[in-house]
Amino acid sequence: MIISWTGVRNLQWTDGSYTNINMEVNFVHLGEWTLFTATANDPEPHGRELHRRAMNGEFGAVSPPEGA
Amino acid sequence: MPIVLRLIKGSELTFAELDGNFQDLDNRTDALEAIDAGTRLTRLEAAGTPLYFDSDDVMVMLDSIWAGGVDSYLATTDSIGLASFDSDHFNVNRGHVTIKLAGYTPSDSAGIASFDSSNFVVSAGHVTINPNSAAGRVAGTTIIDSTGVASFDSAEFNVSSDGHVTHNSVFLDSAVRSRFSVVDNGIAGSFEYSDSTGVFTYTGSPLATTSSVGVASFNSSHFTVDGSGQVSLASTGAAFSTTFNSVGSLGFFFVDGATAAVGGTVSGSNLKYGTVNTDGSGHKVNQIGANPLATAFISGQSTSFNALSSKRVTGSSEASPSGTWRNLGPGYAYSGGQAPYGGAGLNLFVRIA
Repeated sequence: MIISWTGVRNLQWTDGSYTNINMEVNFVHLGEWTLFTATANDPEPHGRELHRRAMNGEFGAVSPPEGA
Repeated sequence: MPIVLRLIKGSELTFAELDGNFQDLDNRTDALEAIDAGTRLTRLEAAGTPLYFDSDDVMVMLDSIWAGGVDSYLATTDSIGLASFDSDHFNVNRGHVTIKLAGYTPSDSAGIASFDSSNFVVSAGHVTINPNSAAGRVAGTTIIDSTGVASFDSAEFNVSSDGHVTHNSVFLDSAVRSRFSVVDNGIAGSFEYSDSTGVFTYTGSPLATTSSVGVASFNSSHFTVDGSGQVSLASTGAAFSTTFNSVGSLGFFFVDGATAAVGGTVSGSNLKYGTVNTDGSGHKVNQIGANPLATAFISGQSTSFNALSSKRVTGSSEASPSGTWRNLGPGYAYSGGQAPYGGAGLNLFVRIA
Protein backbone atom coordinates (compact mmCIF):
# COMPACT_ATOMS: atom_id res chain seq x y z
CA MET A 1 0.00 0.00 0.00
CA ILE A 2 1.25 3.43 -0.87
CA ILE A 3 1.01 5.59 2.21
CA SER A 4 0.94 9.34 1.75
CA TRP A 5 -0.13 12.27 3.87
CA THR A 6 -1.37 15.80 3.54
CA GLY A 7 0.14 17.37 6.65
CA VAL A 8 2.37 16.91 9.67
CA ARG A 9 2.14 18.87 12.95
CA ASN A 10 2.88 18.87 16.67
CA LEU A 11 6.27 17.17 16.65
CA GLN A 12 7.70 16.00 19.97
CA TRP A 13 10.60 13.77 20.99
CA THR A 14 9.33 10.47 22.41
CA ASP A 15 11.81 10.44 25.28
CA GLY A 16 15.06 11.78 26.56
CA SER A 17 17.07 9.75 24.07
CA TYR A 18 16.00 12.29 21.40
CA THR A 19 15.88 9.52 18.84
CA ASN A 20 12.27 8.98 17.85
CA ILE A 21 9.67 11.65 17.18
CA ASN A 22 5.98 11.63 17.91
CA MET A 23 3.87 13.66 15.55
CA GLU A 24 0.40 14.10 14.22
CA VAL A 25 0.08 13.06 10.60
CA ASN A 26 -2.93 13.44 8.35
CA PHE A 27 -2.66 10.25 6.33
CA VAL A 28 -4.63 10.09 3.11
CA HIS A 29 -5.86 6.56 3.72
CA LEU A 30 -7.07 7.37 7.25
CA GLY A 31 -8.50 10.78 6.46
CA GLU A 32 -7.86 12.26 9.90
CA TRP A 33 -5.04 13.52 12.08
CA THR A 34 -3.40 10.54 13.75
CA LEU A 35 -0.64 10.13 16.29
CA PHE A 36 2.43 8.61 14.70
CA THR A 37 5.84 7.60 15.93
CA ALA A 38 8.58 8.16 13.39
CA THR A 39 11.80 6.22 13.75
CA ALA A 40 14.93 6.19 11.67
CA ASN A 41 14.85 2.42 11.30
CA ASP A 42 11.15 2.03 10.60
CA PRO A 43 10.64 -0.96 8.27
CA GLU A 44 8.21 1.18 6.29
CA PRO A 45 9.66 3.75 3.82
CA HIS A 46 7.10 6.40 4.75
CA GLY A 47 8.08 6.06 8.43
CA ARG A 48 11.73 6.62 7.61
CA GLU A 49 10.85 9.56 5.32
CA LEU A 50 8.75 11.25 7.99
CA HIS A 51 11.58 10.83 10.49
CA ARG A 52 14.20 12.14 8.06
CA ARG A 53 12.18 15.19 7.10
CA ALA A 54 11.32 15.89 10.71
CA MET A 55 15.00 15.71 11.63
CA ASN A 56 15.69 18.19 8.81
CA GLY A 57 13.21 20.60 10.34
CA GLU A 58 10.89 20.40 7.40
CA PHE A 59 7.83 20.09 9.64
CA GLY A 60 8.90 22.71 12.13
CA ALA A 61 10.47 22.56 15.58
CA VAL A 62 10.38 19.38 17.68
CA SER A 63 9.17 19.92 21.23
CA PRO A 64 11.08 18.47 24.18
CA PRO A 65 9.87 15.12 25.51
CA GLU A 66 7.40 15.03 28.34
CA GLY A 67 9.06 15.62 31.69
CA ALA A 68 12.13 17.23 30.17
CA MET B 1 5.27 99.16 -104.30
CA PRO B 2 2.90 97.71 -101.79
CA ILE B 3 -0.05 99.64 -100.46
CA VAL B 4 0.79 101.82 -97.45
CA LEU B 5 -2.08 102.20 -94.98
CA ARG B 6 -2.44 105.32 -92.82
CA LEU B 7 -3.39 103.33 -89.67
CA ILE B 8 -0.45 101.01 -90.08
CA LYS B 9 2.03 103.77 -90.76
CA GLY B 10 0.72 105.90 -87.86
CA SER B 11 1.41 109.23 -89.57
CA GLU B 12 0.28 111.22 -92.53
CA LEU B 13 1.04 109.58 -95.88
CA THR B 14 3.38 111.33 -98.22
CA PHE B 15 2.34 112.24 -101.74
CA ALA B 16 4.60 109.52 -103.07
CA GLU B 17 2.94 106.94 -100.79
CA LEU B 18 -0.51 108.14 -101.81
CA ASP B 19 0.40 107.89 -105.47
CA GLY B 20 2.06 104.57 -104.92
CA ASN B 21 -1.14 103.18 -103.42
CA PHE B 22 -3.15 104.25 -106.41
CA GLN B 23 -0.49 102.91 -108.78
CA ASP B 24 -0.59 99.53 -107.08
CA LEU B 25 -4.36 99.34 -107.33
CA ASP B 26 -4.18 100.36 -110.96
CA ASN B 27 -1.69 97.66 -111.73
CA ARG B 28 -3.90 95.07 -110.15
CA THR B 29 -6.89 96.27 -112.10
CA ASP B 30 -4.85 95.97 -115.28
CA ALA B 31 -3.93 92.45 -114.34
CA LEU B 32 -7.51 91.49 -113.73
CA GLU B 33 -8.61 93.02 -116.93
CA ALA B 34 -5.98 90.95 -118.75
CA ILE B 35 -7.36 87.66 -117.40
CA ASP B 36 -9.91 85.69 -119.41
CA ALA B 37 -12.92 86.04 -117.13
CA GLY B 38 -14.49 82.92 -118.62
CA THR B 39 -11.70 80.71 -117.25
CA ARG B 40 -12.13 79.05 -113.84
CA LEU B 41 -9.57 80.26 -111.36
CA THR B 42 -8.19 78.53 -108.33
CA ARG B 43 -6.81 80.76 -105.60
CA LEU B 44 -4.22 79.55 -103.16
CA GLU B 45 -2.68 81.57 -100.39
CA ALA B 46 1.09 81.51 -100.29
CA ALA B 47 3.00 83.69 -97.85
CA GLY B 48 0.20 86.25 -97.78
CA THR B 49 0.14 86.55 -101.50
CA PRO B 50 -2.74 84.92 -103.37
CA LEU B 51 -1.81 82.54 -106.17
CA TYR B 52 -4.30 81.81 -108.86
CA PHE B 53 -4.43 78.65 -110.94
CA ASP B 54 -6.83 78.10 -113.67
CA SER B 55 -8.52 74.75 -114.17
CA ASP B 56 -6.06 73.71 -116.77
CA ASP B 57 -3.22 74.27 -114.40
CA VAL B 58 -5.01 72.26 -111.70
CA MET B 59 -5.67 69.31 -114.01
CA VAL B 60 -2.07 69.31 -115.07
CA MET B 61 -1.00 69.10 -111.45
CA LEU B 62 -3.49 66.33 -110.63
CA ASP B 63 -2.50 64.34 -113.64
CA SER B 64 1.07 64.66 -112.47
CA ILE B 65 0.16 63.48 -108.97
CA TRP B 66 -1.89 60.44 -110.08
CA ALA B 67 0.36 59.52 -112.93
CA GLY B 68 1.73 56.49 -110.86
CA GLY B 69 -1.73 55.13 -110.05
CA VAL B 70 -3.54 55.07 -106.69
CA ASP B 71 -1.63 52.10 -105.36
CA SER B 72 1.61 54.00 -105.48
CA TYR B 73 0.25 56.47 -102.92
CA LEU B 74 -1.15 53.99 -100.40
CA ALA B 75 0.55 53.89 -97.04
CA THR B 76 2.74 50.92 -96.23
CA THR B 77 4.24 49.82 -92.99
CA ASP B 78 7.27 52.00 -93.54
CA SER B 79 6.05 54.83 -95.66
CA ILE B 80 3.57 57.65 -95.48
CA GLY B 81 0.62 57.41 -97.76
CA LEU B 82 -3.09 57.06 -98.02
CA ALA B 83 -4.50 54.70 -95.43
CA SER B 84 -7.55 52.53 -95.59
CA PHE B 85 -9.11 50.80 -92.61
CA ASP B 86 -10.20 47.19 -92.34
CA SER B 87 -13.82 47.24 -91.30
CA ASP B 88 -13.24 44.12 -89.23
CA HIS B 89 -11.21 46.15 -86.83
CA PHE B 90 -12.08 49.80 -87.41
CA ASN B 91 -15.09 51.99 -87.73
CA VAL B 92 -14.83 55.00 -90.10
CA ASN B 93 -17.57 57.56 -89.85
CA ARG B 94 -17.30 60.88 -91.69
CA GLY B 95 -13.58 60.46 -91.68
CA HIS B 96 -13.42 59.73 -87.98
CA VAL B 97 -11.72 56.43 -87.28
CA THR B 98 -12.39 54.36 -84.13
CA ILE B 99 -11.03 51.00 -83.08
CA LYS B 100 -13.36 48.10 -82.62
CA LEU B 101 -12.31 47.10 -79.07
CA ALA B 102 -13.05 43.69 -77.63
CA GLY B 103 -16.13 43.93 -75.49
CA TYR B 104 -17.66 46.45 -77.80
CA THR B 105 -18.20 43.72 -80.33
CA PRO B 106 -19.66 40.23 -79.99
CA SER B 107 -17.46 37.88 -78.02
CA ASP B 108 -16.77 35.71 -81.02
CA SER B 109 -15.77 38.51 -83.30
CA ALA B 110 -12.30 39.60 -83.99
CA GLY B 111 -11.07 42.70 -82.27
CA ILE B 112 -8.48 44.12 -79.98
CA ALA B 113 -8.66 42.66 -76.55
CA SER B 114 -7.61 44.27 -73.32
CA PHE B 115 -6.69 42.40 -70.18
CA ASP B 116 -7.59 43.23 -66.61
CA SER B 117 -4.27 43.55 -64.86
CA SER B 118 -5.76 42.18 -61.64
CA ASN B 119 -6.35 38.88 -63.36
CA PHE B 120 -3.76 38.75 -66.14
CA VAL B 121 -0.16 39.58 -66.69
CA VAL B 122 0.75 40.93 -70.14
CA SER B 123 4.41 41.09 -71.00
CA ALA B 124 5.63 41.91 -74.52
CA GLY B 125 2.20 40.92 -75.78
CA HIS B 126 2.35 37.57 -74.00
CA VAL B 127 -0.65 37.01 -71.79
CA THR B 128 -0.58 34.78 -68.69
CA ILE B 129 -3.03 34.33 -65.85
CA ASN B 130 -2.16 36.28 -62.76
CA PRO B 131 -1.94 33.51 -60.16
CA ASN B 132 -2.54 35.97 -57.37
CA SER B 133 -5.66 37.49 -58.81
CA ALA B 134 -9.11 36.79 -57.48
CA ALA B 135 -10.39 35.29 -60.70
CA GLY B 136 -7.17 34.04 -62.14
CA ARG B 137 -5.46 32.39 -59.19
CA VAL B 138 -4.86 28.70 -59.31
CA ALA B 139 -6.07 26.64 -56.40
CA GLY B 140 -3.20 25.29 -54.42
CA THR B 141 -0.97 28.25 -55.04
CA THR B 142 -2.90 30.51 -52.71
CA ILE B 143 -5.06 30.08 -49.67
CA ILE B 144 -7.47 27.19 -49.93
CA ASP B 145 -10.66 29.19 -49.54
CA SER B 146 -9.92 31.49 -52.41
CA THR B 147 -11.67 31.30 -55.70
CA GLY B 148 -9.71 30.22 -58.68
CA VAL B 149 -8.92 27.37 -60.97
CA ALA B 150 -8.67 24.06 -59.19
CA SER B 151 -6.59 21.08 -60.11
CA PHE B 152 -7.25 17.59 -58.89
CA ASP B 153 -4.80 14.95 -57.81
CA SER B 154 -5.34 12.01 -60.09
CA ALA B 155 -4.37 9.76 -57.20
CA GLU B 156 -7.69 10.59 -55.59
CA PHE B 157 -9.97 12.10 -58.21
CA ASN B 158 -11.31 11.39 -61.66
CA VAL B 159 -12.03 14.34 -63.93
CA SER B 160 -14.21 13.57 -66.93
CA SER B 161 -13.97 15.35 -70.25
CA ASP B 162 -16.89 17.56 -69.28
CA GLY B 163 -15.04 18.72 -66.19
CA HIS B 164 -17.10 16.59 -63.79
CA VAL B 165 -15.07 15.57 -60.79
CA THR B 166 -15.65 12.33 -58.88
CA HIS B 167 -13.70 10.67 -56.14
CA ASN B 168 -12.02 7.49 -57.25
CA SER B 169 -12.64 5.84 -53.86
CA VAL B 170 -8.92 5.58 -53.33
CA PHE B 171 -8.14 7.45 -50.14
CA LEU B 172 -4.68 8.74 -49.48
CA ASP B 173 -3.01 7.39 -46.38
CA SER B 174 -2.76 10.87 -44.94
CA ALA B 175 -6.49 11.43 -45.37
CA VAL B 176 -7.36 8.16 -43.69
CA ARG B 177 -4.88 8.55 -40.87
CA SER B 178 -6.16 11.97 -40.01
CA ARG B 179 -9.56 10.50 -39.22
CA PHE B 180 -8.38 8.41 -36.29
CA SER B 181 -7.58 9.30 -32.74
CA VAL B 182 -7.24 7.41 -29.51
CA VAL B 183 -8.30 8.00 -25.95
CA ASP B 184 -5.95 6.99 -23.19
CA ASN B 185 -7.81 7.01 -19.93
CA GLY B 186 -4.64 6.73 -17.96
CA ILE B 187 -4.06 4.36 -15.06
CA ALA B 188 -1.45 1.79 -16.00
CA GLY B 189 0.00 1.47 -19.48
CA SER B 190 -0.51 3.84 -22.39
CA PHE B 191 -2.26 3.94 -25.75
CA GLU B 192 -0.98 6.28 -28.46
CA TYR B 193 -1.62 6.96 -32.12
CA SER B 194 0.57 8.61 -34.75
CA ASP B 195 -1.36 10.26 -37.57
CA SER B 196 1.85 10.53 -39.58
CA THR B 197 2.48 6.79 -39.63
CA GLY B 198 -1.02 5.49 -38.86
CA VAL B 199 0.36 3.24 -36.15
CA PHE B 200 -1.50 2.54 -32.92
CA THR B 201 0.83 1.76 -30.08
CA TYR B 202 -0.34 0.09 -26.92
CA THR B 203 2.21 -0.11 -24.18
CA GLY B 204 1.20 -2.56 -21.55
CA SER B 205 1.14 -1.80 -17.90
CA PRO B 206 4.48 -2.04 -16.12
CA LEU B 207 4.86 -4.30 -13.16
CA ALA B 208 3.47 -2.85 -9.99
CA THR B 209 5.85 -1.64 -7.33
CA THR B 210 5.26 -0.38 -3.85
CA SER B 211 5.03 3.15 -5.20
CA SER B 212 3.58 2.78 -8.68
CA VAL B 213 0.49 1.32 -10.27
CA GLY B 214 1.04 -1.67 -12.51
CA VAL B 215 0.34 -5.30 -13.13
CA ALA B 216 0.49 -7.30 -9.95
CA SER B 217 1.50 -10.89 -9.55
CA PHE B 218 0.62 -12.97 -6.56
CA ASN B 219 2.95 -15.04 -4.47
CA SER B 220 1.63 -18.56 -4.75
CA SER B 221 2.78 -19.22 -1.21
CA HIS B 222 0.17 -16.81 0.02
CA PHE B 223 -2.42 -16.46 -2.73
CA THR B 224 -4.26 -18.57 -5.24
CA VAL B 225 -5.66 -17.19 -8.46
CA ASP B 226 -8.39 -19.15 -10.22
CA GLY B 227 -9.19 -19.26 -13.92
CA SER B 228 -11.48 -16.26 -13.69
CA GLY B 229 -8.77 -14.14 -12.13
CA GLN B 230 -10.26 -14.28 -8.68
CA VAL B 231 -7.62 -14.04 -5.99
CA SER B 232 -7.93 -15.91 -2.71
CA LEU B 233 -5.72 -16.28 0.31
CA ALA B 234 -3.86 -19.54 0.10
CA SER B 235 -4.37 -22.07 2.86
CA THR B 236 -0.81 -21.37 3.96
CA GLY B 237 -1.01 -17.66 3.15
CA ALA B 238 -0.37 -14.84 5.56
CA ALA B 239 -3.42 -12.68 6.08
CA PHE B 240 -1.32 -10.03 7.73
CA SER B 241 2.13 -8.71 7.17
CA THR B 242 4.63 -11.09 8.65
CA THR B 243 7.22 -8.38 9.11
CA PHE B 244 7.16 -7.06 12.65
CA ASN B 245 6.40 -3.37 12.95
CA SER B 246 5.42 -3.05 9.30
CA VAL B 247 2.04 -1.72 8.24
CA GLY B 248 -0.45 -4.55 8.44
CA SER B 249 1.48 -6.48 11.08
CA LEU B 250 -0.02 -7.56 14.39
CA GLY B 251 1.43 -7.37 17.85
CA PHE B 252 0.57 -7.76 21.51
CA PHE B 253 1.59 -4.63 23.36
CA PHE B 254 1.14 -2.95 26.66
CA VAL B 255 -0.13 0.60 26.48
CA ASP B 256 1.96 3.17 28.25
CA GLY B 257 0.90 6.77 28.74
CA ALA B 258 -2.14 6.49 26.57
CA THR B 259 -5.51 4.86 26.29
CA ALA B 260 -7.28 3.34 23.36
CA ALA B 261 -10.71 1.85 23.04
CA VAL B 262 -11.16 -1.16 20.80
CA GLY B 263 -10.90 0.28 17.30
CA GLY B 264 -9.10 3.35 18.61
CA THR B 265 -5.61 4.30 17.58
CA VAL B 266 -2.49 4.98 19.53
CA SER B 267 0.99 6.10 18.64
CA GLY B 268 3.66 3.43 18.54
CA SER B 269 5.64 5.24 21.23
CA ASN B 270 2.82 4.46 23.66
CA LEU B 271 3.05 0.74 23.02
CA LYS B 272 5.58 -1.45 24.78
CA TYR B 273 7.02 -4.87 24.15
CA GLY B 274 9.76 -6.73 25.95
CA THR B 275 13.19 -6.89 24.43
CA VAL B 276 15.79 -7.97 26.92
CA ASN B 277 14.68 -10.89 28.97
CA THR B 278 15.91 -13.72 26.82
CA ASP B 279 15.03 -16.18 29.55
CA GLY B 280 11.39 -15.41 28.99
CA SER B 281 10.96 -13.47 32.17
CA GLY B 282 9.91 -10.28 30.46
CA HIS B 283 6.47 -9.45 29.20
CA LYS B 284 4.31 -12.49 29.56
CA VAL B 285 0.67 -13.32 29.10
CA ASN B 286 0.76 -16.62 30.86
CA GLN B 287 2.27 -15.14 33.97
CA ILE B 288 -0.31 -13.07 35.73
CA GLY B 289 -0.49 -11.23 38.97
CA ALA B 290 -3.53 -11.23 41.21
CA ASN B 291 -4.75 -8.41 43.35
CA PRO B 292 -4.69 -9.65 46.94
CA LEU B 293 -8.11 -8.22 47.42
CA ALA B 294 -9.49 -10.24 44.56
CA THR B 295 -11.56 -13.33 45.20
CA ALA B 296 -11.36 -16.60 43.36
CA PHE B 297 -12.23 -20.22 43.97
CA ILE B 298 -8.87 -21.93 44.05
CA SER B 299 -8.22 -25.47 45.25
CA GLY B 300 -11.65 -25.70 46.70
CA GLN B 301 -11.38 -22.47 48.59
CA SER B 302 -13.08 -19.25 47.82
CA THR B 303 -10.56 -16.53 47.10
CA SER B 304 -11.46 -13.04 45.95
CA PHE B 305 -9.79 -11.25 42.99
CA ASN B 306 -10.88 -8.01 41.44
CA ALA B 307 -8.27 -7.93 38.72
CA LEU B 308 -5.63 -9.99 36.94
CA SER B 309 -2.78 -8.48 34.92
CA SER B 310 -0.11 -9.88 32.66
CA LYS B 311 3.50 -9.63 33.66
CA ARG B 312 5.35 -6.59 32.37
CA VAL B 313 8.93 -5.50 32.67
CA THR B 314 9.73 -1.85 32.33
CA GLY B 315 12.53 0.54 31.64
CA SER B 316 15.28 -0.60 29.30
CA SER B 317 13.75 -4.03 29.11
CA GLU B 318 11.06 -2.87 26.76
CA ALA B 319 10.83 -0.91 23.54
CA SER B 320 8.20 0.75 21.37
CA PRO B 321 7.28 0.07 17.76
CA SER B 322 6.98 2.79 15.11
CA GLY B 323 3.95 4.21 13.39
CA THR B 324 0.31 4.21 14.38
CA TRP B 325 -1.57 1.22 15.73
CA ARG B 326 -5.20 0.27 16.18
CA ASN B 327 -6.43 -1.58 19.24
CA LEU B 328 -8.05 -4.86 18.23
CA GLY B 329 -9.09 -5.78 21.76
CA PRO B 330 -9.92 -7.72 23.71
CA GLY B 331 -10.84 -4.59 25.66
CA TYR B 332 -9.97 -1.02 26.46
CA ALA B 333 -6.22 -0.53 26.44
CA TYR B 334 -5.18 1.39 29.52
CA SER B 335 -1.80 2.08 31.05
CA GLY B 336 -3.01 1.67 34.60
CA GLY B 337 -2.98 -1.80 36.09
CA GLN B 338 -3.46 -3.85 39.14
CA ALA B 339 -0.79 -5.09 41.51
CA PRO B 340 1.47 -6.92 41.60
CA TYR B 341 2.78 -6.17 38.07
CA GLY B 342 1.29 -2.72 37.73
CA GLY B 343 0.91 -3.17 34.02
CA ALA B 344 -2.14 -3.17 31.91
CA GLY B 345 -3.42 -6.20 30.14
CA LEU B 346 -1.90 -7.02 26.81
CA ASN B 347 -3.94 -5.87 23.84
CA LEU B 348 -3.72 -6.96 20.28
CA PHE B 349 -2.83 -4.16 17.88
CA VAL B 350 -2.47 -3.86 14.12
CA ARG B 351 -0.28 -1.22 12.57
CA ILE B 352 -2.35 0.99 10.28
CA ALA B 353 0.14 3.71 9.35
